[in-house]
Amino acid sequence: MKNKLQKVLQMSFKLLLYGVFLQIFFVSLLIAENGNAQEQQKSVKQVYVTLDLNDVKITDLFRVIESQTDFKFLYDRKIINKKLKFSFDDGSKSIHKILLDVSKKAKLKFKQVNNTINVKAINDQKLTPQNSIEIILQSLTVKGTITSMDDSEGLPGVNVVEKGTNNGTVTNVQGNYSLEVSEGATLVFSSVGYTTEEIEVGNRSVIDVTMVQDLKQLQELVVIGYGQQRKEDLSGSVVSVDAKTLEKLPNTSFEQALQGRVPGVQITQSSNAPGGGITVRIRGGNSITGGNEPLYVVDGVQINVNNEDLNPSGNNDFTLNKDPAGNALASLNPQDIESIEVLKDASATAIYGSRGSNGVVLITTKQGTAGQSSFSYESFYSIQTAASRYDAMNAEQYLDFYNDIEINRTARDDGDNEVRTLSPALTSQFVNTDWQDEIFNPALMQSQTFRFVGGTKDLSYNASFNYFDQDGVVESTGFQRYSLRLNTNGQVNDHISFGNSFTFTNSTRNAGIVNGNGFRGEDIVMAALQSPTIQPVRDANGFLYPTTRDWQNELEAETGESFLFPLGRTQNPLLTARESVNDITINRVIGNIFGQVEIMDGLRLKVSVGGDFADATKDYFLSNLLRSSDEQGFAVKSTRRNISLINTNTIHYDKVINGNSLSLLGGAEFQTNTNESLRSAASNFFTNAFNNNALQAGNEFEQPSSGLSEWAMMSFFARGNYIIKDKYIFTATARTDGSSRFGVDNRWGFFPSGAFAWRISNEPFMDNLGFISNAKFRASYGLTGNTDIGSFRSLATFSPTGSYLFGGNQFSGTSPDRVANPDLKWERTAQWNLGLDLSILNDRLNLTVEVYNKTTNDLLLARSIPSTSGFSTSLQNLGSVENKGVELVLDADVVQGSDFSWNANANVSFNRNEVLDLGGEQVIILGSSLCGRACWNNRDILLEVGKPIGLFRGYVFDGIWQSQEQIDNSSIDHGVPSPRVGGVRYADINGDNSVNSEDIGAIGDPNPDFVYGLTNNFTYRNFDLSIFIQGSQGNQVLNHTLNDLLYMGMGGTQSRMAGSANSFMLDGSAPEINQSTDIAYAGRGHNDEMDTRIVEDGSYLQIRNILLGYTLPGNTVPWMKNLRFYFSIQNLATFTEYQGFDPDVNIGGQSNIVRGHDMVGLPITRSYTLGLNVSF
Amino acid sequence: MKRINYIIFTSILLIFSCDGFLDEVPQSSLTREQFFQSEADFRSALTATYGELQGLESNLIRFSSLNSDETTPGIFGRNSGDNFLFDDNEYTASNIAFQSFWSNLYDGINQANNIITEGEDITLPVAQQELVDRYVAEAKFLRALYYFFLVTAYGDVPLITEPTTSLENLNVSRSNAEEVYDQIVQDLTEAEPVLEAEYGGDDLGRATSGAAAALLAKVYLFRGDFVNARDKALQVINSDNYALFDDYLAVTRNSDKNGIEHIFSIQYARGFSENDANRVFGANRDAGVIAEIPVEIEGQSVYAVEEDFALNFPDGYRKEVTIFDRIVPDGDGGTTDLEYYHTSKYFDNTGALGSSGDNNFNILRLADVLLIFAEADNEVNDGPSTEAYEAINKIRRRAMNQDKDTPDPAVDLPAGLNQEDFREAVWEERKWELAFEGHRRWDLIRTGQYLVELPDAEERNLLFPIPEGEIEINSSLSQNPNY
Repeated sequence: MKNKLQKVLQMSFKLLLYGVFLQIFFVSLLIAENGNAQEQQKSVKQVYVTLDLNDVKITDLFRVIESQTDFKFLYDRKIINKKLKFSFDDGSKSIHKILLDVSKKAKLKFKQVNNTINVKAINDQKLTPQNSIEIILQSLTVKGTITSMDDSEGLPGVNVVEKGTNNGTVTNVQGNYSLEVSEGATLVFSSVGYTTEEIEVGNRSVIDVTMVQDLKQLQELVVIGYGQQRKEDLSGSVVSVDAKTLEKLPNTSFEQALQGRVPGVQITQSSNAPGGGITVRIRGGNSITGGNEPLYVVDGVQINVNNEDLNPSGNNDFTLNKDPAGNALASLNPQDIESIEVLKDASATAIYGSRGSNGVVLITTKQGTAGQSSFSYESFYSIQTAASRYDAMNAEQYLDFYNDIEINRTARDDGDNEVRTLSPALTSQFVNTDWQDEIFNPALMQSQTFRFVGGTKDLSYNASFNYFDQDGVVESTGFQRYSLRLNTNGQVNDHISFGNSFTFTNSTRNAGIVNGNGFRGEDIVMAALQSPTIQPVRDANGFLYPTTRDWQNELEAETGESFLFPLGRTQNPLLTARESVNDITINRVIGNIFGQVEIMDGLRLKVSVGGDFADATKDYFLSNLLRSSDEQGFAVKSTRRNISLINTNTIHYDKVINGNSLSLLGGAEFQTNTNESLRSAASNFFTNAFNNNALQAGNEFEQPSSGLSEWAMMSFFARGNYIIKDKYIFTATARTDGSSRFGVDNRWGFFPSGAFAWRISNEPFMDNLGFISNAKFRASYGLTGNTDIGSFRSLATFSPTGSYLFGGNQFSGTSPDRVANPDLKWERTAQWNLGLDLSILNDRLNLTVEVYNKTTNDLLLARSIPSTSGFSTSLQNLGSVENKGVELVLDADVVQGSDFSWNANANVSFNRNEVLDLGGEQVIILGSSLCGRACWNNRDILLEVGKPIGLFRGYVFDGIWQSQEQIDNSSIDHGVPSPRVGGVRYADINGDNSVNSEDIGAIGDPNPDFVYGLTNNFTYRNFDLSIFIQGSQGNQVLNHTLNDLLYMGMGGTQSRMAGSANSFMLDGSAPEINQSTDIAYAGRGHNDEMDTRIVEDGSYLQIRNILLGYTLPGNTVPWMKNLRFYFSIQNLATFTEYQGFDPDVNIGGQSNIVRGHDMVGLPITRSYTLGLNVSF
Repeated sequence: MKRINYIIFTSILLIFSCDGFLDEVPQSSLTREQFFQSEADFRSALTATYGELQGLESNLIRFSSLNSDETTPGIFGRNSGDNFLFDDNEYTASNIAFQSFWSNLYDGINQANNIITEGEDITLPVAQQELVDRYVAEAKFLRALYYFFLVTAYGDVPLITEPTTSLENLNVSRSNAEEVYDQIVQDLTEAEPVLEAEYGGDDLGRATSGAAAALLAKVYLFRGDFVNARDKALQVINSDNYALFDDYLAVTRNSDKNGIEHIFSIQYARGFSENDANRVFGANRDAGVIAEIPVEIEGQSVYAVEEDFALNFPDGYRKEVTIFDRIVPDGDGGTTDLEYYHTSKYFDNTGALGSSGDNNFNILRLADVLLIFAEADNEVNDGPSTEAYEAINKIRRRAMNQDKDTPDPAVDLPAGLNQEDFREAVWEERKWELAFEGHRRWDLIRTGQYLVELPDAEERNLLFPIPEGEIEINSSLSQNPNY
């Protein structure tokens, strides 16, 4: 197998080498063959020469003829028999005659094209000498100028060849060419870096061509902060993702497509709901409580990605949990994106200074192309299904469980009471409802994009419209987006250019009552998991039972029999879905306008003004049919507006000095951000008809609230890049930022970086190692910062919070928010990076290895302070965190045939995160607030020096107490709560013979050992197939859902997991279960601590995408440029041991502390997509 | 080249380097410099300080009712092991209730400290100054009340009387309980003469001079200073500002909020902020119409009444109001035997079953003061005086729905009780009269009956543990014994 692969590789290598040589050969010939135009063309028959030669070689003969005439011979030396000698005696002979002789003896044929005589070997036996000389005389001369699309300048060095011949020329410095061609000829224009053009000459004598840059070559040009750079000149760590990758995955937003594709980048969704929030971590989380999301820059505009900044929900009285924020990046149509660059190391990100430490993602949208007008239509339809389920009880198991509770209750009450059983009159009415089936339904998704691209060399444009509509697999969830984009680029004259990038998006996220939105039984998924399976969904008349209690009451009234104990009041999830609204609509404009002046050769000044204008509205309504809506309906209208303005001014200077290139950048940037919010709510409506559109119709009103927060930033930055002999690359950057968010004493920060790269493959000593086509070593070091904290955090402020009633009327009060911290400053991350880029076998095998180490100091940490101060936390600069890791990418063109090709790309990233210091503390305990009903001490997260961030904290489960003897004989003091038979036993970790809070420690780690992605792309003729596999290894999940459904739910009747059937039996009726179960006795909760039972292995391998495409062969339909169909399956299969919906879960959203926690959530969605792309 | 760069940079700088570009000016909050400038600022700060009262009853009930002989977890409370831990005295220092009670009270104390410190510094026009002086007195009352809750729950606690303005010196150690009590007495003594005797309109609900005096009486009683307790109680009783309601039902009924008997209550109103007592006791219904109790109530109570408590409750009108029998009509002419007894004290016919209430939560009311007087007087005089008899008998007569001022031998305490019997009679009366109003645990501990009445309790349970989280953060804090 291995040998075979090696052979294939060697073979292809050989072929490739030949190809390259041939090309070089022809190119040099062509250059030599710069044809001179002549006044009059003569045939070989008309030209006579006098030769007096003895025993000359053919080549010498040709040379003599060339010296005496205007003819030029064009031949490949290999076809000339060197041993043949010719002699010619005195006398004038036509060239035709001479060549006939040669033809006979040397088996050569000749073709005269004007003054050129092409020489070829005769392979055809039938060819007679008379036919072996072909004469073509031409007088058609074609001239023209070839320009480049991007700068409209003349393009020198373009090969112009008459198709099917060796007749050709090369453009001069001005881009001009002139070539004599035969009638009906077709000219082929080609140049490295540009798309080859074929043009029929027809009757024209002037053919001007604008060469379009080859996209493949474009990739080699990489977007970096405030500029562009050739990929080979990079000294930092930058990963480029091109648009094609994005197009393959039918997604709401582009980052989902990045998952598993970019080494060092870990992407998790906080919710599988359409438009749900997304977390992106580049090389691990640096900050504990500050922001950890990378900075996103769209066409030069730094946009706001703090999901909360666009989340208008505010506080929702009816939920313990804040409504999880949606994805702030869903406002961008992924189809508009041309390329994405992920900047990872300090050399690349330090130009963004205080916002660079979490990495930077540069997004470039599609631009217009001059002279290439096209209209395209991109469309796909998907069907989505829920691809994972909880293993819930069926009716029979539920009934057993119900009886078990009764048995346990009776046994607990000293066995005085007789064990009651449910009357058959009741049980005969039971059904078997699969609630998950009821709420998860196949859902449609579609996207339609129309795009116009075109322009002239003075003005080009790209205009697109996108409609995207995704229904969620849970009724009442979904996402819709309308987006418009207009990008233009213009040229006023040779020195002044301008342009703009602009997008408007209207998106609506139907967030639904999911994702732990409400712990009082509203959450649709939780309710489905907790509703008894014996309960029918609808009554005899087809109406939904509002709650389990309603059904129970009705059944009891009907049969005259009663249940042993109530089944709870779980609300019918279908009713919740139908009778609630939870929509977030965002109108957003992201764009900028820029002008550029070329002051002198190589010196450009660019000014850009832009912004991110977002307006979000939340519509929330619970109808009066829902019990939690205060019985009378509850409606909220809230808005949030975030306006970010940015002005960037840069100067670029590029110069080549003695073959060394220098490029300099200087800039100044000013940015302001304003965030405003407003919320009003009412309840107690006489009708549901108004929804939330007439709050005044309510009879009770929530106190309205509004808020405003602002920040500003002023920055100056510079970068120098010097490349010596294309071998040694030096880069230095520096930025100084002033931010209003920090204390007056620490307002300005300075962030320098330096990098060096060595293109080893350009060294002479590498010439012997011809199989290495590229080798580059990179090293960088720099400082970056993080400012992502709320505004005004350094000031002691008083806010209008806290109110009281006097005389029955409410009065607002004012209370202090925090203790002042005038020393508050930036987090600082120092990062070094070493990288090696290696390409062998003529770039067919590419390997990149990077090693990095990041240390973040002065962490912005919301540190707990004694509550006796009147405050619970204070934001301080404390402690440090280290992230270090290795990233590997291997890309191979395994097969490169004309019919079949196969490219494989694999990447794997290892990151190790460690808390180095916590401001003197060894341990800080935090809470996820996700414990809900079950966990009363909300202290489930551990930060410990020497360990990774965000460890799960709890007891170690040590079994179930089997008997009173076991308890009495235990030498370990189990403290409180006192051990009880059937209760949970925890392990004495510190060995002090006592189980207490000191035995609570780290029980799980959400950080993966490594994450990886594997992409295989195959093409066969017009078919293409791509298979994308992605996974994570070694991360753990704290499954709060399981806690609620299995372990803590045992207290009452909430448990609905099949596993609950294994609960401990107090009466000893099931000894085999008693010894093996890890579930305490059903019927009374007595084990309300977090323990190892709910920590699960979250490793997974997911076949994330399989796509089969077919592209119609070119010219099948003359008026159509391109037609492509594809079919894809997303999330085909997930291999994992995890019991919940999705091991890739992160209900904590962008928090760096609450990672790997699962609270209800939504299942993995599998989608089947049919797509069509057509352009004219 | 360089010159061009220089010029461009300079011009850009000139355009943008306007002063204050980076200055932070909060728009929806105020800095200390902007705040505490006017009478209205102080009033607003004080409102928020009162606001810390709302929600306190959740823990007060958990501590005083569940962690005593009054209640046990009801059907709605059985899902939470937490409730059993309090019922069985098995809670640990990590229990969130201890942390929330602690943080809540110290939040209030810091706010009160702000008002007191800033208010004593400021000089305003006379009319405004008078109001600010009163606000300072109100803040002192609240600070005293909050410290009283702390000292009864935790014993020695950090005593802080200055607002927190910097991150320095936050690790305060515990002060002796006696010092805390001294501060409470000082605050109340200073506040009492400045406070108004009564308020009307939009000031109803503020701390009155009577409230300060009544709290003082109670504090003295807790310290065993019976002379002062008696005198202060008597001062309140004789002030003519307060009288017992005729109907015991009015004591906790929402339609009688801030009535003649009420001295200080946590203010609630439906739609604004609501009383958690109604939810946990599952009692939102009109107790006067017992026949209409739906069986539904069974599922509503988080804390159900202990069976012994219900069975021993002296029969009569007060019991009818306080406890409803577990045998309830089922609507079909028969009866249903509920699993638990419930309290119907927090009846409130304006809300849905299982929701929070519109009624106030009593902190101080005259019946409490009368019983303080009776108890203290009995101790001072080494036996009951006529006044002491009359004080307790008024309450006993009303309990039977009789005229409270008309002696009735069948209802009144038998004459001639010795000091000890009378003392126990008062304690017994407190148990029934003030049931479910947040007194029981503290009364049992104060009178040394706690360990007797609660077999699960141990010596350590007489004080709650200092919240574990606080000890972890503040190295100067020590834990109470055996936690």
